Amino acid sequence: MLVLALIIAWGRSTQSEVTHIMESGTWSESSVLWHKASAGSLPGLGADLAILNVFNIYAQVTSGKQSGETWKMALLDKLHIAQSLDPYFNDTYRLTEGLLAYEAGKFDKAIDILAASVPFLHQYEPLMVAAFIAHQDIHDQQLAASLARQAAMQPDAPPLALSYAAKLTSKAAGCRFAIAFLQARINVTPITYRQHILNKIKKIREGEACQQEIADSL
Amino acid sequence: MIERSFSSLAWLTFKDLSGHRTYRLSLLAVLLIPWFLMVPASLFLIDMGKVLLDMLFTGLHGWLFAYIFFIATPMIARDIELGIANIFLTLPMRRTTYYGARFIGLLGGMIPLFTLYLLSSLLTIFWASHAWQGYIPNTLWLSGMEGMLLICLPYISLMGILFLIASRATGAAEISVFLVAVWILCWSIPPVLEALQHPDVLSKTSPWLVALLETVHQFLPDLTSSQISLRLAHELPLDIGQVLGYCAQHLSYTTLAWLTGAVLFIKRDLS
Repeated sequence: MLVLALIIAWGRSTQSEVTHIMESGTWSESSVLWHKASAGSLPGLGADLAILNVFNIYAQVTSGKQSGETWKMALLDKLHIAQSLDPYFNDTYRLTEGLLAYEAGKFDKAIDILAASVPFLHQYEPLMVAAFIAHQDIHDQQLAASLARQAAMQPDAPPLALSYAAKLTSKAAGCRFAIAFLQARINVTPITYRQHILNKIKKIREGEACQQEIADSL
Repeated sequence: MIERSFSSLAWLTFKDLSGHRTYRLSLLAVLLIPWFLMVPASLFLIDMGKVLLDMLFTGLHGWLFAYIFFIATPMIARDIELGIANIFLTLPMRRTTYYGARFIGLLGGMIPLFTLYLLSSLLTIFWASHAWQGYIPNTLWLSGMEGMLLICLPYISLMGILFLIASRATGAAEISVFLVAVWILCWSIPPVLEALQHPDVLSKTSPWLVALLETVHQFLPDLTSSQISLRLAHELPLDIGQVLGYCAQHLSYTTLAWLTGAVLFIKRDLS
């Protein structure tokens, strides 16, 4: 019995430490405990259900059944649940970019979620998107440069990422850079969710400063 | 003689199970479940392989839970309530032989269900990899198989706990209540303790609650497979030490529960 108890103790000690994500806002500490407890051995399924709820919220918004701030907070909450339960889930980051940032306009929260992917995914893409949002939408060039540098250091960063990072760091990124970045994002976004990126490109193009920049370059 | 009566009773248990309509329906269900799970998986955007594995793991948890609570528990409870255990024990059979043969027979009943579910799941993965080309990694079937084998272990431990509870219980109600309580605590406490490791959460949670959860956790088996299934669903490699530790602790829990139950059953007054 003692040997068995020792084997159990050893077995328990070999289980890996879990890295955690925590954000402020509607996402409270008690909700982390509740969601973890209810998901139990199925955190992946819990995250899947949260993402299905995100689709549901998006469908309600596009059909005009939801408006105002409520759906934005619900969207943020569901994305937090999904990330907390399964931080490796790529759909969470794509929907954070497309819906939370470009549709709901929660830029700072989107940056938080995208930047928190680093210890899990080790991918340049979420960080580069976060850098772009910081540069283009909240105009925090210091944060944008810092995120872009982090993105360029990720193991999967292509030469294009290094070029984007250099532009953001040197503050030379204008609206043509923004449009080129978003057009590159369209290629890796599923067809259903491209519209919000196209809307964003249209909005940038219509801006006075952008029209001036394009006119100057001709 | 003892060996023959052990294998005979184990075989009889398996035959008894396979004659039940619930068991036969379960065999059909495990064949069909993986195919139905493709429907929710198809709703997702990029990580469709991950979602499909999440669904297949959930299906596995579902039928293993159903097997223990709705097939194994009623059989053990019937032995106690109708005195079937006494009938077997009037034969030249030791109590441990009866106790062990029933345990092996019920575990054996899981094998055809598991084999069918595994085969059906693998076919589903291969089908999905053709239907959703580019979204299903080529080695997903390997992660799926590994995950399914590992997820079975907590339920083998739960079977050991069922026998431990049944060794002193008076009937179905008592067994069900205690088994559900153990299962709920084992399901929910380890993930909560993981979440409590985060400094922000820990600082805002009552120390009394943390101490209570830690104490309960020390007395309960750690039956969660959450981190293993999460990593395998994303095709992330598992540390060999972690897998060995996981297997060793679950097999030890099973043995410990079974041995304790056997000792209690030997001393039990069956008259």
